[in-house]
Amino acid sequence: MENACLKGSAFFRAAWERREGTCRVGGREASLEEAVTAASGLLKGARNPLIYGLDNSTIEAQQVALRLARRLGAVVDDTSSFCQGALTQGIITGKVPTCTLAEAAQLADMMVYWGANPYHAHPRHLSKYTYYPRSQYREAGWMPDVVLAGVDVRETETSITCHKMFWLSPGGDREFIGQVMSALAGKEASMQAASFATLIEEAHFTVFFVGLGLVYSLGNDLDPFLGLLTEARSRGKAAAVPMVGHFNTMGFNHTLYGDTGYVNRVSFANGGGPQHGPEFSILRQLRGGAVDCLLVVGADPFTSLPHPLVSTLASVPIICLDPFPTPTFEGAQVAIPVAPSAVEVPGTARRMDGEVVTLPQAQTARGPSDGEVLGRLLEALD
Amino acid sequence: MPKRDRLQPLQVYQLLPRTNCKQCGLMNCYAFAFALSTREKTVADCPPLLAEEHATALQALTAAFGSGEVQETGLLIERERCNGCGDCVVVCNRALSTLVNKGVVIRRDISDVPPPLDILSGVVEVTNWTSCKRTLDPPNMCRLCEEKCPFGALELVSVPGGEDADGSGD
Repeated sequence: MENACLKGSAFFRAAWERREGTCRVGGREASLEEAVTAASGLLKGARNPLIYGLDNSTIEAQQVALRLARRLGAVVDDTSSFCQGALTQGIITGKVPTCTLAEAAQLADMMVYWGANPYHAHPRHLSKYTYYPRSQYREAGWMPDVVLAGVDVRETETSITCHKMFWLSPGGDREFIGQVMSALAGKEASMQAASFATLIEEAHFTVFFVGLGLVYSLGNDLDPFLGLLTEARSRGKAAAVPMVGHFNTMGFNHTLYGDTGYVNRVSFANGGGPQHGPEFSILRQLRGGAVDCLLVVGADPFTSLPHPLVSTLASVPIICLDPFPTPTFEGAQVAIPVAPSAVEVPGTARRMDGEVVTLPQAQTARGPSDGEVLGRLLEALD
Repeated sequence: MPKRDRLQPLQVYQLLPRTNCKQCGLMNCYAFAFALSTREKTVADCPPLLAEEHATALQALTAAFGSGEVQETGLLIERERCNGCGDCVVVCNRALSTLVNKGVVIRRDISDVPPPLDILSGVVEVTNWTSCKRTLDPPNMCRLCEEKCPFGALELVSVPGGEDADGSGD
């Protein structure tokens, strides 16, 4: 396999070597029709169903899932509600300035990886999209005048690559931002913050790549960071790009925003318009014991959610659509194997910078796509 | 730990028994330290090092020189460290755009020159080594791929076809 990084290579290999799984209902093997009937029965009988995941589905499948959610009066949420949701909401609503990765590669003269280690999460981020690509306006691209800076709490591969590294104690981001703001205002600040402020003042175009390190440190209250971004913009161009994890999280956020005006945590209950609020996040819904049926599409909440919620999760009937046998898939009441998106299922997705990417079909689909199964569930409800 | 701390020959020498016993076939332990750095010798070629009193040194030297295999190109690739980020491939493309050969600056369009390294099955492999500056006559001792690898998966340990390791920078 040529060109793919280790993660991409492993994903394609897993998709190729994937055994064509069989549907299971209550632990017993079943046909697709039986599984769809059982799933639609569970959804029909549920008073407060929740649709979760969809970050590894194409935009087309996400649109079908939203129609299903409207039809069911369900709550819809994805991983962004406890990851990058606050920032993506700001970006999609136009409150937070952003730029595409191509603009960053061509124009930015300062790149800051804040609380992120792209060498593990997005191995090609620097080599293909941001720092190393040959720029139209600078012959040597990365070499002469692009400053690569990092802010982190520990040594990583990215910190080794960065020219300037700013070390914080865990949770110290808010204080550091405050110090940088003081330095930018000409007041007294720590040496490290003053150095960071100088870099911002000297840069013509700064791009902040925001990792979960910063988001979790600020506790989803991004106001200090947005204040810094505004200060940077008053001195030149500045933008923020969230380092989202799943390949189509931005697609889900954009699709839901286009449909409802909110990027995540939406409820279609009570037949009225979509309602939005923190109470509709999967964490709050599970914690409150409100969910009586969980439809999981291409996600693994058994692995990714906090441990205390797993026992709650185990008591909820789960319908799981996934190409791979994850713990959630194995423990689901109704498990339907689907073809992996971007390998067997063509479609479109949105990158972390919001650019729409067309995903060609790499090999013939073995089994239905998640969009097809969601469509059949929708039909079965009528 | 992302990048391995490379031991310099003098640091290797400090870890060796320093008895100059010649059991490795070399004149003294200092020569063995260089041979170990260029992977011409392995840790097992030093029998006194296997004694219990040198267990700590053996552990450190095995960690530093125990894995990977030097290719004919003089490049050592530790595949288990590589995650296919491709930094080595793209920085090399930049290096190829200008070459200095016998005092003459040669400018080439990088698209005309295939990169010496490529990512196959998720890890770096040598595919067109003749594109590397190090194959010129005299060789241009570029080390960009090694220097830019954030995982320490690449190490240029010797000149291709040469006798000694080169210690020069780019």
